Amino acid sequence: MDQHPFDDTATDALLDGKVSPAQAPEGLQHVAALIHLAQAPATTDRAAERQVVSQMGAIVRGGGSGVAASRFAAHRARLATVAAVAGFVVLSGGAVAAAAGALPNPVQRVVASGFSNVGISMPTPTTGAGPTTTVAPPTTTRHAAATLAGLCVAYRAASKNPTAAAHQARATAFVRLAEAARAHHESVAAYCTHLLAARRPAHHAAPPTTSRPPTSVPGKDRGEGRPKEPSGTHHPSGPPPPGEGHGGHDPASDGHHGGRGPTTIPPSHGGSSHGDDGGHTSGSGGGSSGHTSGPGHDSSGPSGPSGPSGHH
Amino acid sequence: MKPADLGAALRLAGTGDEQAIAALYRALQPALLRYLRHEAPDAAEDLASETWLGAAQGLATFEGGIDAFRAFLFTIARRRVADHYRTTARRPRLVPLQGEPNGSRAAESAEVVVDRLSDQEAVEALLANLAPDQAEVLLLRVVGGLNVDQVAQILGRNPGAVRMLQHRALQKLQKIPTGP
Repeated sequence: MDQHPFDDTATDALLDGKVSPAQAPEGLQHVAALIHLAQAPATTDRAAERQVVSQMGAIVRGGGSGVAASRFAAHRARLATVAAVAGFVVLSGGAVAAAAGALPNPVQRVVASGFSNVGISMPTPTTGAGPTTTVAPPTTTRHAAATLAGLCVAYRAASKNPTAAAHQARATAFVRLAEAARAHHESVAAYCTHLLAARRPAHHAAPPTTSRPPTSVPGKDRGEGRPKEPSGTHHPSGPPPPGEGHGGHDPASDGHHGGRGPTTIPPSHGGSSHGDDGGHTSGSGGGSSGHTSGPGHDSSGPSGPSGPSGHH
Repeated sequence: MKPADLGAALRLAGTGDEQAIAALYRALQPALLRYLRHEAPDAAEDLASETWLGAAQGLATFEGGIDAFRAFLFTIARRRVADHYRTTARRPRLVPLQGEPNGSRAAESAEVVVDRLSDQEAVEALLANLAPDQAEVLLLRVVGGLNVDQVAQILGRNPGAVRMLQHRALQKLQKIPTGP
């Protein structure tokens, strides 16, 4: 049964909404009414309109995907921020920490290598006495002594630069270095000369088997904080190298150093990472970009539609 | 807004004029949303925005009148729908009308029933009992406002096939007095 009496023109008129329900043929009145309703004018959501129109304007004026461009710019800005923060950390606190040998092993190695390229000596994880070479829990005294040696390295490096030296003089860490030198009745330069000279032989010595916390003021308890050496050798002058093994006598292990740190220190190699490492890790904080699908992958030409893929 | 005005707006929109773009948006967005609400009810608004942003990329170099731009817009929309279902790995579904069963409506006149429907319910009522290819042709013809040639181009069929589909659709609707 073919009730459909329309030709192409009449069908087009019906589907275009040009036929009112009253004019529609028998059985198609409701279709005409539905078509009219389906084509009724409607208002748009003004908030969505503003947002879309603004983005479209940006895209058209920019000659490309404004959304993609803005996402890329935001991502680039985030990267620049992270790089700037990282650079600041490296140039300020990072330099002090590196000089002290207090960075995590891999970081310390890279920083030391980088500074060595410009003629500045920094302790490396294999040669330095930084806290990362031991498995002992962090102690204030150990860290302080290791820091003093590192500060001396940084002090020498910065002394060639008046601006850096001026900054250095105000830095809290270098105030501690000055206090340590004063306690030893020496200038900072002389103190550092002695301190670093005393450390040098230790680099060639066998790795320490035991270690103990050094004193906060180097030189008060000589013989401590160094690797075990053959009997008869000692340091005639200057403070002992902090943060290294000692000759076997360990007052701390006797419990006489109440409240000064651990009573026993495990061997300095082959242990777990140092607890201080966590304090030197700087989070980059670079968030991930939510990669949502952008509008920019239409292959249809602007002059008209062509060949869409079906989905039914 | 008249088609001539929309044609002028289209040319201005190609320069990035936001007032002209807004005029196009207000003229075409309702139809676009009805189309997308039928094809992808759960993502219609998002897909509409993506469609407009996709269209914006070709706006500066677009050549043609408002009818061509309408066809261009629905071409992008149809691709967005396909992408949407490809991404979500779901098939489009037909949304039945909520409300009274057909039997209780049979006694009412067609116009009374239609008067109670919203514009989107009218779209769904019109297409509910049609085969998918018939429904898609009518959707693009009625809601999209496209002519047979444009629909044929979008669907990748020849115009004769599109005409045949719309005739069969109308025959089927003629046998179903109240639509849904």
